[in-house]
Amino acid sequence: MEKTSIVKIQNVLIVTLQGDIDDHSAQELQQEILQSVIHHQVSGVVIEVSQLELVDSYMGRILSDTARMIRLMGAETLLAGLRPMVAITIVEMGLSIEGVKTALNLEDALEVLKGGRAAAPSLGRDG
Amino acid sequence: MSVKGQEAFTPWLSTVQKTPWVTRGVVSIEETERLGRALWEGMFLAASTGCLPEVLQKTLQEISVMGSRNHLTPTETAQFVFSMRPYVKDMVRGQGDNLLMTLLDEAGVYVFEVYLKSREEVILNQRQDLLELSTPVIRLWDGILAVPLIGTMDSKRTQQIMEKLLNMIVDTSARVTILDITGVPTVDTMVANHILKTAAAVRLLGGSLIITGISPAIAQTMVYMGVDLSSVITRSIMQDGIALALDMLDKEIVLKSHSTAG
Repeated sequence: MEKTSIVKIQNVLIVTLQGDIDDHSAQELQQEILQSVIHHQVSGVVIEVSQLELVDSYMGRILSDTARMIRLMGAETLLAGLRPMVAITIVEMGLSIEGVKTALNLEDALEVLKGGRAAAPSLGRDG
Repeated sequence: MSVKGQEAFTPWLSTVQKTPWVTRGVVSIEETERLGRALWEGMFLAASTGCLPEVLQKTLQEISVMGSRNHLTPTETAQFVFSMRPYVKDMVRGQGDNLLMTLLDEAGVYVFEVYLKSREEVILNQRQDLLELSTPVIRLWDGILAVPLIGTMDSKRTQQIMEKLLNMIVDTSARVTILDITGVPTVDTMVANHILKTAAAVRLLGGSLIITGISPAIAQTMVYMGVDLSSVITRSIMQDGIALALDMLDKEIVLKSHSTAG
C-alpha cells in the first residue's frame, strides 16, 4: 500500500489517500484502517482525500461502508479535503456517500474531532 | 511585383479601395493590396483545381473575421469578394466563364458563413460574460460566503455557480455558505433539484449551505409540489441566514456599549 499512509496522532488516525485507488487496493485499505483503529484504540479517523482526482461509485461505497464500520467500533470518521471537481462529479452522478461527516481540510477535521465545533451535517439518511 | 492578369487586377483593386473597407478605415490601402493579391492568386489556383484551395479559404476567413470585428455589414464584407465579378472574366483567357463564376459564388458564400460564425462566437462569449457577471460569490465574513442568485436557474448555470462556489470554499476555507434565492423568479422542481445538488456538493467539501429568500409563494409551491427541502437549512430572509451562519461559527454581533461595559 505505498499509495496511502496511516498515521496516528494523539487519539486520531489520519489516513492520507494518494493517487487513484483501484478496487482491490480499496478493499485492502478498508481492512488496514479497521485494524489500525483496533490497534491504536483511536476515537476518531480522518480520511484525507485532497490528492484524489476521481471517486467512482465503488470508492464512494467503500468510504461510506468503512465509516459505518468505524462507527460500530466506537470511533468517528471524517472525510477531509475533497476537491471541488470531485464533489461535482459525485453529485452529478447521483452517488451518495452516506453517513460520512466532512471537513474542509485536515486542520478543520482535527478541530471537529477535538470537539471544538460541530461538523457539517453528515450526508444522506444518517444525517 | 506583378500578379497573373495584372491588367484586370489593378482596376479591381482600385474598386475595392472605394468600398467601405477603406472609406470607413477598416483596413489600410497596403492591407487591401495584400489581401487582394492573396484573394486574386487564390482564385487563380481555384480556377486551375476547380475547388476552393485551403490558402484561399484562409484568406476568405481573414476577410470575414476582419469585416465582422469592425462592424461591417455582411453585404459590405462580401463586397470584397463579389467586387471581383466584372474583372474575373478577364482573369484567365480561354477559361470557362461558368466555372469562375461558380467558384466566385462559392467564395462569397464561404465569406458569409465565416462571418456568421464569428458573430456567433461573439454572442457566445457575451453570454459567458453575462453568466459570470450575474453570479458573484461574496466573502461576507471570515468563514462565511454569500451567493445572491439573480435570474433563472438552468442546469448549465447551476453547474457554473457550483464550480465557482466550491472553488471559493476551498480557497477561503469558508465553512458556511448562504445561497439567497430572492432574485430567482420561479422556483420549480428542477430549480429545487439544482439547489439540492449544490447543497450536497458543498456538504461533501465539509461546508454547510443555508438557503435564504424563501418567500411565502416559494414555500407554498414547494409544499404543493411535494419537493422535499428538509435536508437543507432554509430561512425566509437573508438577515436570518447571516445570524444563523454567525451562530454556527460561534460568533455573534454585539453592541459596542455591551462589549465596553463588560
